[in-house]
Amino acid sequence: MNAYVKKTLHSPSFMILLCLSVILILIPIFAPQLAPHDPLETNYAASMVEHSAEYPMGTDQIGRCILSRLIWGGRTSLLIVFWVVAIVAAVGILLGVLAGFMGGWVDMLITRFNDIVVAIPSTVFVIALVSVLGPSLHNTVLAMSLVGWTEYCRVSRALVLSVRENNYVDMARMGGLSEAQVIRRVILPNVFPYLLVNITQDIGANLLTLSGLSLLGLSSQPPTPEWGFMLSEGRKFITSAPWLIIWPGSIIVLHVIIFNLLGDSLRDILDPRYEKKNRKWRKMKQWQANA
Amino acid sequence: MKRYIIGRVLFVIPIMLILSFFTFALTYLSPSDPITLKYERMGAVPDKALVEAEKTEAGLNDPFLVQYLRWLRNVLRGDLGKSYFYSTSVWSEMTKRIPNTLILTGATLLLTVIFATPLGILSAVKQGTWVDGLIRFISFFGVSMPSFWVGTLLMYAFGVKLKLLPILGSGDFQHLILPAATLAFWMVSLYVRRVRGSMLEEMNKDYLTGALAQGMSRRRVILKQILPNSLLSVITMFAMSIGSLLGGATIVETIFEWKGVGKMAVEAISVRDYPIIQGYVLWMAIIYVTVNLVVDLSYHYLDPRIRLGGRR
Amino acid sequence: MASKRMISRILALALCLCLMGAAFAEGKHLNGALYWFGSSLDPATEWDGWTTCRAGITETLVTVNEKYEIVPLLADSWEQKDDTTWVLHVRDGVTFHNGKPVDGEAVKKSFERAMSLQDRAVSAAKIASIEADGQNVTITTTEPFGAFLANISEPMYSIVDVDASTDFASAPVATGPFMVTGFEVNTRIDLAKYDGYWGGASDIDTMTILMIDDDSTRGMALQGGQVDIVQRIAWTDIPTFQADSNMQVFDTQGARTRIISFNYENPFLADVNVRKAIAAGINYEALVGVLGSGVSVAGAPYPASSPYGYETLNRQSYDAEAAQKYLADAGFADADGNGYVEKDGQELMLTITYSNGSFTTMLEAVQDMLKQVGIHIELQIVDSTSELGESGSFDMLCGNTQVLSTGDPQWYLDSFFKTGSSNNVTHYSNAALDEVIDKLAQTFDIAGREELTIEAEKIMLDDCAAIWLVGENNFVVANSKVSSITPYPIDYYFVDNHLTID
Repeated sequence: MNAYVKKTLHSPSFMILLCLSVILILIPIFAPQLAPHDPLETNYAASMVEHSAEYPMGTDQIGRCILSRLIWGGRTSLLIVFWVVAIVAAVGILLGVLAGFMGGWVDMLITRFNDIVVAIPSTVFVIALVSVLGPSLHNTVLAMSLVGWTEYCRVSRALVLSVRENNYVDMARMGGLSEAQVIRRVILPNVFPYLLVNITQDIGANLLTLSGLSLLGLSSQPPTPEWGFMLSEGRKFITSAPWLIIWPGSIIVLHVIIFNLLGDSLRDILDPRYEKKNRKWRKMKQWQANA
Repeated sequence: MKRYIIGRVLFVIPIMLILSFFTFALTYLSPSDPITLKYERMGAVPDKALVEAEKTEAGLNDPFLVQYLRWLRNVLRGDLGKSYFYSTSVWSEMTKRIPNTLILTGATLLLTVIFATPLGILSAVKQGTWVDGLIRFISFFGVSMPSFWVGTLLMYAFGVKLKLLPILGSGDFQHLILPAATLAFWMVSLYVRRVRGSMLEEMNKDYLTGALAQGMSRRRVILKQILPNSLLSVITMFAMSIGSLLGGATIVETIFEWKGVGKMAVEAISVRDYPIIQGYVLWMAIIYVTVNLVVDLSYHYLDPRIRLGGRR
Repeated sequence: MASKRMISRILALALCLCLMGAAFAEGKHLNGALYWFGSSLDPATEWDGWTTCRAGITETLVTVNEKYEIVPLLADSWEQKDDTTWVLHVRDGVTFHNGKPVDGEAVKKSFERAMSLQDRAVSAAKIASIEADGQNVTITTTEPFGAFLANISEPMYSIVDVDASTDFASAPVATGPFMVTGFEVNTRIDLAKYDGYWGGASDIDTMTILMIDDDSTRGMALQGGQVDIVQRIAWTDIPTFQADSNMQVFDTQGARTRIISFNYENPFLADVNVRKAIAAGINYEALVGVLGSGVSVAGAPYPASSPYGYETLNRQSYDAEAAQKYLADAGFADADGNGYVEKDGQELMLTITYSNGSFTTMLEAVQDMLKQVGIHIELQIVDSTSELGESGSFDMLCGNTQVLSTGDPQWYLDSFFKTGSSNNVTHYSNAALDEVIDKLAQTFDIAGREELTIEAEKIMLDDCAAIWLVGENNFVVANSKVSSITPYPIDYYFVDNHLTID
């Protein structure tokens, strides 16, 4: 681990991107301090302002400040995305490591299950589940998590298989460690850094999925601001108030780009050859997210 | 070989069974019923007695398992059922939608192949130059933008402002341009990056030094050695993309009112038109199995060293 | 090199296709767009008649004009013999699209067909029997029914040639100015003018009506020139269209009203003072300001354009002080200082449930307005409010209802406010109102019906039976090529034989 940390610290591009990402995350956290207005505060006298000193990004139909709504909206959007990524990474890695480490029928069961989930058209599945359960933060997270874990499972299984061939796993075993201890102390630390790249880039992919769900009215309950929802509301005003679609869209693109770049540079640091093994699954995921 | 193919094709059956059962289970969870939703959609106030009568007629009041087994029996007889919403059969609705999806998929793939391959090669060959930088920059944006944002902006620019293209509908060539362009922008960006990556990887391999030492021209090496090998590694992903596209580019079809299977699925979900949803699930299962089979076979064909079924 | 040739071939192909498209059109052609199609073109099934009526394919015996008056259409005169018997005379010289003349027998068969196809056709006009005699039809109702004449204007009673050997679902033979030449479910209807139309053949030779369900997309299709005329666009786009000299916007106050209804089983809402506080806490003018030119202030059950005393009524209006007073009268006060009032330690928190995504902005504004007077409102969007309504698990529902369906007030009162009525999911019950509604059903003269309707409205307003937020306007928007457009307040009228295009 230490070697990675050292390498990381010596990569200026990574450090810059990391700082940017941290800033992007801090903005919604400090929303109460940063937002110039209450995101729900209406001002009928100043509705549909394009931009002014008071409202730098303009206002919507009922005079709410777009900038403030974007800052607060990050709470919902990023929260959903981080939850999804955390859940799918945890579940996927767990299943993948189990499959790779245990082998035999456990491996077969998990792999088959994985195959079936991959066969499900994920966008349509998420739409179906959310509309059946009713649109809410929890249901969105649940639906996106149910289909999102497969790539982690596949990748971590493959990684475990390759790690297992190394002698030090056998040595650890001979040293008297139990199976669970081998997984926790030996395998996970070896596998996790590689998966970190996936995790970072999954943030961008999930942001795109979320914005697609919002188009169909399936992300959050109003009046909670959420980027995708703002974007789909803004679509109605494209001829009369284009800023309502341009700002939220740009914010989503900015986040996706920064997290994707962070992932790219992390990969370059960890393993330049890593690209080969893993890229297609990540791309596949992104593709499904956006189509 | 034959046995392998048959086995693969038969795999559609368990997948279908599991997916359709799952879909039915979702149906059961849903608090809304399709008949009421249909009337609400019309802006009408549904009459309770009428709704109940229609529900009974459609068998929606039967227990969950009865409904599922009845549906399964009908499918085995080749009857996919009747849509609750369109009063047409699922089969005729599907056969109307699938050609549209095929056209959109075809156009998108054509554009992707035409643009992504040369741009990807160019970017790899000119690695580190401004050409490479520009291509990478644009393709990075391409994969980072929500497609409905891109679609809406294109619609506004070309349909409303410039009045060059019809903004929606499906059918003829003009209608195809904007949705295909929206999808292709995404696909091209994705594959430019992919082709570039695998080209670079291939270029670092040892055998190239040998080939160059033997006096082969650089152009010849790129075209005859590097390109075929690097495209091989793109195939799986490309096949999966085709699968996804055939499943319907849900969002893009929705914003451009392109009447393909993706839009059909979303519409069917929003009104709980279960027979249509099941028809869609069946279509997806077929695509999944076919795509996997084609990938396996193409690997086998392109590189006979790879055993069938050994990919993973 | 090869790819260059390929590209040029594709371009050539594209050019050919464009030219073919342009050369195809001959005669006057109009492209229209609607926001919804029925699943078939059979006027007698479900609500499909609304589509055939909009597209100018089918017609009814009587129709409702811009002032909500019942006027002749296929029937040119009628007479009421007694409380339950009506005699209508079918206009001479009306023919079906196949040239067959329309007589009393054809009308009888058409009505009987509609009644055999759906229960709604049985209950809406309460028809007991129909007799045909030459051009006359005699219709007997099961009970004295004041809304009879208005209700037979509902498009499901469109007159079709029952004997024609045709598939009604895709090509009904009817009497309208346009005949169907092609139909694709949820996509398009192709039409050609009917030369033998009794009111004079249309100036337009062919017409295509597309279904575009997204409001803003429909507007963009109009701006892009893909269609010439549309019904309804996104309200937010209206100022843009009004400012555009190439566009014409027709705005009529419609009879579709956005209404908040209360659950009378809810202990808070059972208190009339709480209901009145909510009604007084909403700034109706500001809502109209927010939503733009698409809506007008409501505040009463029936719109200002109808003859039901809108101006004379004590309408719901904004008065924040009154709202606070009502709350105080009901025993609410903000004891804990969080901005929301409580009673017996319970905060006045209510959820407004709705299913139409386009209501979101309006309800967010309502939420904010009620916050100012101390009422805590939560919003909840669901797929279907009618199911929720039946289960009774809601506080307030918000939806839009056609309050003057077929131009008559009775249906709305009967369905939503009469004690025990099937659509009365709020469990509203008011003996005085029930009495007025019963009287209305047995009153036939127009002045008497208006008077009773106003009486009913007064009772509902005093009791604050619901909140009538805003009335939705009907919009017909067309480019400048289209002329002779008649804007109708009831939205199932759209295309007629006067419409023309350059």
